[in-house]
Amino acid sequence: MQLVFESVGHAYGERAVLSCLNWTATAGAVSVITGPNGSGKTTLLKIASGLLRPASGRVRLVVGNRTLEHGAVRREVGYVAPELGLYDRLTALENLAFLAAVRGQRQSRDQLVLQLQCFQLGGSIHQPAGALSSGMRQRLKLASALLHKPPVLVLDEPTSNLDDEGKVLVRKVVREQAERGIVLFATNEPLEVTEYGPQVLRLHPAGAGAGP
Amino acid sequence: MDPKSSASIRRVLALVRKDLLEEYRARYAISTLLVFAVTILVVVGFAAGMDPLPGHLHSSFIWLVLFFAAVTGIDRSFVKEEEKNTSPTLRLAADPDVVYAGKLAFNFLVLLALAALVLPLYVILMNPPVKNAPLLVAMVVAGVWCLAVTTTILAAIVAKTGTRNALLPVLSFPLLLAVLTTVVSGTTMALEGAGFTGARQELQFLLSYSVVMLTVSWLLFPYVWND
Amino acid sequence: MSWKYTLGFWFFLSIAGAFVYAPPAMGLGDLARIIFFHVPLAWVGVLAYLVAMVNGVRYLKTARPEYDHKAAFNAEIGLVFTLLATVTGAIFARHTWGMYWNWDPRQVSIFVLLLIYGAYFALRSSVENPQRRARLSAVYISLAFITVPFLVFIIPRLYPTLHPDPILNAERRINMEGRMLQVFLAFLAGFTGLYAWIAQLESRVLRLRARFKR
Repeated sequence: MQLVFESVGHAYGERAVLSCLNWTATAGAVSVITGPNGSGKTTLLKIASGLLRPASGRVRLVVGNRTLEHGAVRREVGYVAPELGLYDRLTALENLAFLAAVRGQRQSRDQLVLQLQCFQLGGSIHQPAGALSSGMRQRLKLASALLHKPPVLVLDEPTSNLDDEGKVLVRKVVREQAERGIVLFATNEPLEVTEYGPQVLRLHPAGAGAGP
Repeated sequence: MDPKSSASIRRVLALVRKDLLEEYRARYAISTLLVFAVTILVVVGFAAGMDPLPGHLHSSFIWLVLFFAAVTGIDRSFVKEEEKNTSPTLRLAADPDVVYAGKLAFNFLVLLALAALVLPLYVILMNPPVKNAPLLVAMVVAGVWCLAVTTTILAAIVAKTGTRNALLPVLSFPLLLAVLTTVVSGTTMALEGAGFTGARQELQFLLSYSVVMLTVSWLLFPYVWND
Repeated sequence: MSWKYTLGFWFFLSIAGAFVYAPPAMGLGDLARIIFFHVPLAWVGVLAYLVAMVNGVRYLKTARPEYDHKAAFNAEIGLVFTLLATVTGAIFARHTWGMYWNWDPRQVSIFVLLLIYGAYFALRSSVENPQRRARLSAVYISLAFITVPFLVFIIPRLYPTLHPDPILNAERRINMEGRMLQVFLAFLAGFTGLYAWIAQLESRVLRLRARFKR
């Protein structure tokens, strides 16, 4: 399984954030994306997850002998990012149930509760998402991103507001996902970069190049 | 029904249920709509005083209230997704078709609820002669349906602009002018006692307008919804 | 260069023709001369709208920014011509029907066109991101376009018209005196040429701006 970026470029108005990026993320190992603020990490992740159409170039997901393009990639991705909100008025369980139903999954209530328990949210099933702490929200986002068992998991600084327990959880999730699919992991923590190594993409402001 | 379309109907219903649940808990849309509708109604009532009004003025007032109440609040359905940053979440989880159908259904329900509250209130306060009540209801439902079809895609546009100023009335008026004039004349007929056969042309017009608008909105919605 | 002088010469001849060569129309007298300006202005207003809409659709298909620029400047030109057509129409209305504005079907139609242009620019000015602005405004102008046939169907049924017959009337016969028709057609060609000239200048400005940016 491979996620292939072919000469991907993007600009917001006049400001170019990515230009002509060629890169391949493969299954079996974590692909770490790092770079200073403004180097286009989030833009790259948005393009990878299909939220944003690149101004130039294309992204393909190759699974066996099948190739998926932009619009179809979106369904195969679980994406966790600060700019992806939750429905504050709905409870944790309702959030999960809604996202499953609107994706077309048929999940029983027990399965959903189990998923929440796996992410240490068993005690706050019926709390409105707006009343959860930022760490718990982050875990709820992970739970909903992984509910449909996507082949591609895209994480944008997933540990930035998690406690140690949460960081352990993320590590476990990332390891498990890397065994069966692709993980894109954007971070600026040097420790995480070395930990998940060796597939590292270092982005530079206004331009990009693949790392060693 | 084949399994594929019943599956997409289930997705649409999930979205409608979610919106109704949020609406029930927060009253994003209906509170704005209702307060605005009642305000215009009272202003109109004061202006008209106790004089009996001719039918076409009554129907103009009814649609004045419904149109302006609709365009002040109906964009909430999309704006709330942008404000709470849930629109990218929804965009990843659902196809644009599902989102469009769900939001249209939700907006139609909200506007129906608005009309169901405003119309009796208008009859009580302004005392118009209602000679053909079934036709009046049919006209209001048809007109509200055309309002919902037109404002749903425009609300999606307004939510993407980020300015949140009163753009929806400006955008929707030129598009809805044909609907408003037709539905006003149809409502006048209902008040003055015409039968369904007399108002057939009006109903056909509203139906064909909504079919055309729905089809084109369906085609164009992905361009609005996706980045 | 040659455009400018050809158009200038053409308009000089047409204006002279409008006041000297063409006879006053039956019933309306000298007032009828305003149609030489009014009708071609309205025609360009509608034509520019069509061109803007077509460019909007092309933008949606290709996502190439030049189509969006074309849509925007055609709408700008169209707005100016439509405004002028409305004003000339109101002057005519004042002197024949006694009021500047009397909700004649054609006044309503051109007013809706003005509203659509106005809403289009209100929408454009409220979006920051250029790609998004291009997409949203292209969608809007296409949506507005499909409501036009409904208005054309509905408006004449609402109010009786006092507006003079269209140039081609119901019997498909040209209802205009020969010399008046010559001048009228000269103006129609002249204003269309003026529109084409402005549009071509705008395209050149766009091309130059794109080149200097690089």
